[in-house]
Amino acid sequence: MPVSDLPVAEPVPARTESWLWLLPLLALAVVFWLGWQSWSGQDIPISIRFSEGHGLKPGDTVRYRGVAVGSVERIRLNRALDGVTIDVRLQPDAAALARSGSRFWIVRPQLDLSGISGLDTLVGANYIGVLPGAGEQQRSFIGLTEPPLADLLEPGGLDIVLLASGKSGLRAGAPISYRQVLIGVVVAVDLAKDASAVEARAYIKPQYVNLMRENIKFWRSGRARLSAGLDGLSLDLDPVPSLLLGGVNLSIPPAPGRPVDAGARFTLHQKPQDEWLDWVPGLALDGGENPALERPQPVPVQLIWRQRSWYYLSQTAEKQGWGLPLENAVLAPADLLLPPDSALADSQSLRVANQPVVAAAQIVGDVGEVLALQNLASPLPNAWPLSQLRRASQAEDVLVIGNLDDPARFVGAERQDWQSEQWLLRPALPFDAGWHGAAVVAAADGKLLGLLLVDDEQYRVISVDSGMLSTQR
Amino acid sequence: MRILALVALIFYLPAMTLPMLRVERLGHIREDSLLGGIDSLLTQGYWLVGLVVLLFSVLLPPLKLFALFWLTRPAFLAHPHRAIMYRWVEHLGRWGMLDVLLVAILVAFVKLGNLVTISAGPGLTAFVLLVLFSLLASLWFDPRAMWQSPSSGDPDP
Repeated sequence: MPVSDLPVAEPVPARTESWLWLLPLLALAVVFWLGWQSWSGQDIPISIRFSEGHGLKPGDTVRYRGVAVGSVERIRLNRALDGVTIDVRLQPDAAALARSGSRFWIVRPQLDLSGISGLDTLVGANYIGVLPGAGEQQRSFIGLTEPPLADLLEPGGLDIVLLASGKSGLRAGAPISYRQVLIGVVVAVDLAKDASAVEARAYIKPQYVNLMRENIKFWRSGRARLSAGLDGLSLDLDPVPSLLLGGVNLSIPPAPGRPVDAGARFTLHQKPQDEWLDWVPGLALDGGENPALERPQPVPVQLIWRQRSWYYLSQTAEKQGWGLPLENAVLAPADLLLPPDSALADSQSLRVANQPVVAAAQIVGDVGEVLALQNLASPLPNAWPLSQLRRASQAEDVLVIGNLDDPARFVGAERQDWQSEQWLLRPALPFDAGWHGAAVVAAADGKLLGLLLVDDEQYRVISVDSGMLSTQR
Repeated sequence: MRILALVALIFYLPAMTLPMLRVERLGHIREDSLLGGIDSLLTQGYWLVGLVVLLFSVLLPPLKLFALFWLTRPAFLAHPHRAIMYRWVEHLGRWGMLDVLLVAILVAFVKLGNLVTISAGPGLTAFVLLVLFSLLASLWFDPRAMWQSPSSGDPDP
């Protein structure tokens, strides 16, 4: 084979590597991504100063709402030996906890507030509790020595002061209860400024603020009562936290006084009087008595007549109650304006708002002869406008307004047997005959719904609306 | 293939510094990078182990990668020096034990999984990529390329 026939190697230019340069760029991108991922997932270091470490160890957790949101990294003694500084790493998703106003405390087994807390730390390790603040980002904090009362201290509560003759076991955290429902807590106990009494600052939860009236009574609970009688021994115990901490109870009189302002002072009695325990107030918890709404001002209505009693002897009978003043008339139960059939003719005399009136009333409404309207020569002051009448479409919270010296009685919707034209009230506290003819006003909007009729221990509300008044006149 | 060496070098820094393993045991969380791990070995008194890992897994691998990168670069050194350097790389390179360390980490990952909660950090990704690319770089390293002249592309006689 001739040499020239042999294949000749062709020099091939070095393979270009240009596309390979994409590889380092890609690698850089990956590195940046990894780095960013690591940086964004970084724990947030914060430090908290406590006066006492309570045996906290590195690795113990910080918990918020029951879950771990960080861990203790290091615990060091302050140089001045006045406390410890705890370095904590918060998880990235808990970054919002590291802001000013956040409160940290060490959770440990404790008898406090209205009970026993931190039982989980009896078995497990202590941990750091936290309540978030609302301020700026912050990295160093001062820890609380005691757990905050934060689960009770919500905005809108009321601060009051209880004055007692002696401390006798009352302490911060003691529960304040009404019918064994926790409504507040004692925040601090100290001597009064002039050392004449013990002053306990107390906090009432917002939803119970309306219970705080001028004439309510506070007394110390937390007692065990052992009584011996013919039927044997009986032991009456208060709830355990009250027994351990010394609680405060209160009673509200049937006719509650005016709501108190913040800082109101009450006497804390050592024990309740028996009658306090039976008090049942008619009171709207949610402040249903809206003071901004105008109230009807019922006027007294008195009817006196003579009736035959025995053969030809006659006797004087009398009935009184309340009427609703309208523009130039008064609306009242029929039996207050019209004498019964048994009355002697022309023997009746009617007084409306303590003024003698010539009785000439007409029956109004379509629920039998229960309401009557009496026209008046001279209009009454404080006439109730017809626009403020409304027909109730379902049971609703109402206020019953009679004598203006008595506070309005609150009757919740759940204490009513509702029907459209007239319905029954089943109030916790009975109305006496003096409430006959009282105005029934919707607690929500202050409109008048009807009049209260008291007969035979039954409390009927008769609907009143503007239509039935105007057609009859 | 010096680009592979370059890529491996890019991954070197994050592989050493980013957190590699996240170990959670009884609520205690510990996150460590490779350098941090060596630091704990040294501070806990394991001098020998710590230094061995430091030397063979941290210091030598980048040296080898640098050598691979620069040796294949034309007109870097005079030929005799290249030869000396190449010999050193050959000798020391086999002591660079990134892959061994990776196996050790994976063994820990698998075996400890029952006792603790262990999860990989971004450092581990970077480390795996570093091992992969340095293996490729030394696999595809063509010693003959060292002797190519910059001008002709022909091997020197």
